[in-house]
Amino acid sequence: MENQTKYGYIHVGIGLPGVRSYTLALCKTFTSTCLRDYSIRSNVDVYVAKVVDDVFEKFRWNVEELKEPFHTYKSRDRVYLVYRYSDNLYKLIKSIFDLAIFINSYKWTQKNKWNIVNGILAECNDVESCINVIDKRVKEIREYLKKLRKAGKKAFLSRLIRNTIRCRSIIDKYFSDLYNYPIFDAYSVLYDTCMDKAVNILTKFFDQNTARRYSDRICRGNSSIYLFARDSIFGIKTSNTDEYFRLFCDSCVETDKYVTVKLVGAKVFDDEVDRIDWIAVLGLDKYSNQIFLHYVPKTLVFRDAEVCRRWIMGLVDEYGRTIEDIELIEV
Amino acid sequence: MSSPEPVKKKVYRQGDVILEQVDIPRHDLEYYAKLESNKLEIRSENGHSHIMQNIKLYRYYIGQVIVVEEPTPLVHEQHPTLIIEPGVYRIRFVRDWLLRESRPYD
Repeated sequence: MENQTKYGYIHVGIGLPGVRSYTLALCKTFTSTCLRDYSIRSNVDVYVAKVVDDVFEKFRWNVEELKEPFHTYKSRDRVYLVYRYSDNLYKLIKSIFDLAIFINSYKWTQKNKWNIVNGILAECNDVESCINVIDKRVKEIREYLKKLRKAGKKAFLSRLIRNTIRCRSIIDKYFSDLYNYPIFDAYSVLYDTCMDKAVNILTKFFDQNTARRYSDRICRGNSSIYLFARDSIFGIKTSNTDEYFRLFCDSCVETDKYVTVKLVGAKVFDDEVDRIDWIAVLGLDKYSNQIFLHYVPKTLVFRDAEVCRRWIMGLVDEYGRTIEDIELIEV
Repeated sequence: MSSPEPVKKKVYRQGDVILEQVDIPRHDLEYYAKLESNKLEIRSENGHSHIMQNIKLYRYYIGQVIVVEEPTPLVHEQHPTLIIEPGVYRIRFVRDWLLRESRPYD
């Protein structure tokens, strides 16, 4: 009631979707002067404006109170609908905006999006029931998505375990160090101390420049253990929460010139992959008998070892797509 | 009438050295790049070197570039020899995501 005397009117600005954002403002006046001295105003980003527009239009023609605005006017290519303020009506309009943004944030098909909106509209008759139905449906969908995400994380763990078993023969033959590699401790809550410790360790294996660059990254990073390979494999611990850290082999390739395995360092908690820490390619050059380990971006998580190896050579982009049509000749 | 197939760019890899064919007109190199040597020698981490004779090694704005006039061998003690076809090639090395944003320390 207090707000009613304070604001009086709700202005809903339907712009050119996709070109301009969508505005919701509370004002004392019902005329366009509101745009100059509005009290409360929220804008919806351009990229969701189209969805907000579509969803709001659906509700507008189904909810009696939204059908006939008190006043309409046009300002700067945008039509404004003005409604008399009521707490519930304002809450409903806000809920419609939130619903539109919510359904837009997931990769649902257009059909699924409209099924959700139509399902809500079928159950809502007036402002109050609409608010309740939107609230209930959004909660249900959130719950469903949570289960879906959990199932995805469990399925990913199964995939990693399965692939690690599948690549076991290659690991046994070429990288048996992976079962029992030494771990050096560089953990410190302070960046500088971590840097000093890591540089001390890494300069034994790399040149000063590379050692410092690696140290900087691992001390800023979030992983518990980072792996490196020179004559053999070793790890550096930069966090004290390494009990959840597990190492998997997601893919492996062997040719007459090289052997590569794609390693995934992940935190596993409650039988699911909680977080992927890093992805790397561990390989052996059969000619020089030299092992190497290079990190690749996490966006290659579902790509195989060969695509990751090509990323290291700069032949594919961060998503594993070929940059140019090339002929690779290698030894 | 079908259009002719585009010529694929050649990328050679020997160990951790990558030679990537690039479209740089030779007169651009003569004007804007600095000729550094007539020989390419890149030392590997394990002490052996990748060697190419009778080429022109330039310092260009994208990095080191070589011009190969005739089929030339790229030799390394531990790897089979690669015959590099005539062309202009950029010298690259393998990359690492962990080092992507870090700057070299002087």
